[in-house]
Amino acid sequence: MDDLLKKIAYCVEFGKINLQSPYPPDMKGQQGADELTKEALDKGIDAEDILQKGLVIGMEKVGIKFRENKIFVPQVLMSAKAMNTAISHLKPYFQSGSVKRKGTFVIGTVAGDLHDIGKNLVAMMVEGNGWEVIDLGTDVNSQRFVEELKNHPGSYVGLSALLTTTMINMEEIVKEVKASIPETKVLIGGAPVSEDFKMKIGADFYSADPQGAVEYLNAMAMA
Amino acid sequence: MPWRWPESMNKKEAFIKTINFKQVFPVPHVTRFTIEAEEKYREYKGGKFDPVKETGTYAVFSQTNSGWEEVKPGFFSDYFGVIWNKTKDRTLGIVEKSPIHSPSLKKFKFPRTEFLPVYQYQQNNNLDYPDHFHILSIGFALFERAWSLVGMENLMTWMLIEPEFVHDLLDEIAEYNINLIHQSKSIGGIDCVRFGDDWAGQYSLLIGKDLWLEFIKPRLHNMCRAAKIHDLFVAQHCCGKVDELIPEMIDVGIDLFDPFQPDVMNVFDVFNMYYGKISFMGGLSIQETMPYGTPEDVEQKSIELISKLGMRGGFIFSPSHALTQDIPAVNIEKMIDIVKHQQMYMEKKYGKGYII
Repeated sequence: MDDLLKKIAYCVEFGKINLQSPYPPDMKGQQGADELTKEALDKGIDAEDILQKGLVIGMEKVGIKFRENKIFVPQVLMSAKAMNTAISHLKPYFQSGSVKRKGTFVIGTVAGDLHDIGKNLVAMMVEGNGWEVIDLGTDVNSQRFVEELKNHPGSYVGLSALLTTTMINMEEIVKEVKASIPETKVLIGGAPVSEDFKMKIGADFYSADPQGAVEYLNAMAMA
Repeated sequence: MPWRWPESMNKKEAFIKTINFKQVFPVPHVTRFTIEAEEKYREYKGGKFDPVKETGTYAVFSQTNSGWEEVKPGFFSDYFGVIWNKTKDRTLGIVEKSPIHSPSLKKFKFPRTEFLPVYQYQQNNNLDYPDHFHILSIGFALFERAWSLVGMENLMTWMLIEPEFVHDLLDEIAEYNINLIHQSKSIGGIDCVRFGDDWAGQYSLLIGKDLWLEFIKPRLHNMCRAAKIHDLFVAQHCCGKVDELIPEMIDVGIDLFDPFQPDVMNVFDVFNMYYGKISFMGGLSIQETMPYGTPEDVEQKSIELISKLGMRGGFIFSPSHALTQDIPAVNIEKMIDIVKHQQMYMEKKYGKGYII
């Protein structure tokens, strides 16, 4: 069992989606996250173990390597594809409640901003670390965030912005979210965003990289 | 000891001398605005404002990313058939729809370069500003053109799983740019070709150095060669933390790098490290100083850049991007006043008689 889970983690870490995928070149012709996850389920390995001891372990390594500039966006995208393929096999177990997520993370790029690559990277990493992610897309206003938080009580919120001209909209969203559901924790990120800015607008956490968001969320889930 | 400035020259001559690492005073400067920022500043100035004349900018840009067809309100089709959503950001916009959906060029036809509006812009600019340094600015030059055509996530994953297609795509884009350069030169009146291509985020390269070396560098080299054949200078615009690629830019023949963001690299260290090999344009933060600083902060940062970098040659003073609408008008006004009265501000800082 451990060996199979280690292989799944390895496939996620190195972006091996399935048997047909030519990437990574040194795994050509080998089974990927797709086949190995199916095999694990067929062998009766608990879906929770596949998630926690396979996918999460692999994605955690991806996040750390990305933070350390050892891998870059293309490699992260391949890992996310491998992870998504594996997760598609686990969907029935999430729906039945036999596999529990660590929590729910509602993420969006703030009103006025249509950029999404940074937001997507964070969403992928958080999902790969065992969280349910509700991606509201781009140009999301405070009303939309509050609405979604009411539908998913206890969720965490992630706000992304690429531009100085749009990051100011984070302030209003934080204010509205906190006014409606005061206990909500709000995470912020994006090129011009900083720790000082986080303090100024009353958000709870700032991270320069996706793994920081993952670590914060995981710590909150453990608390 | 006073700093002596004996010559007089026009803006083009001063710009060229500076990027050839000669000392020039006043230090040449460039200021550009986003559409929204220009409108806002014009309103502040009572409705009248000519950005070229009133900022005193030394360079004029003829941009390839202009003259697109508006296919529905706020949405534009560029010459490659990419649909851009400019409803939120009228200057750059973001890709709404890419024309290539699978890793094949069979169904895609590259546009021709003979009849682009940019040639008319460069002719008009030459007539209007004969003493300025003229830049043919090819926006979305290579990497950005590729991801606009196929989608960013597709491009990045195809670099790994469909590398032959990406090589073919980039070859075609480079060929298009090379034809554009030849055509532009044949019409005349340009001093420099500038490639706009963002390769990095705030903290790292987007695709990493290995993939950049494999996919981008060979085509960038060919594009630089095309410009050099015509004795044109070559500028590279790239936002983000890209300092590790500066030696590569020097290697392919880039003469001038912008926007030289102080938020992502130590501009003083980088300038000293590569002095004499590549010139820099930018330096004044539009992420911190301009939007959040006071006019006094703008003065302090500007004079620091002008005195420590500009007065050595090899540095064109500029905000680290086109000015955005979140920048207070008083900061823009201060920056323009500084660049136009450099001697006065330098003497205020260093004492009377510092420059004679």
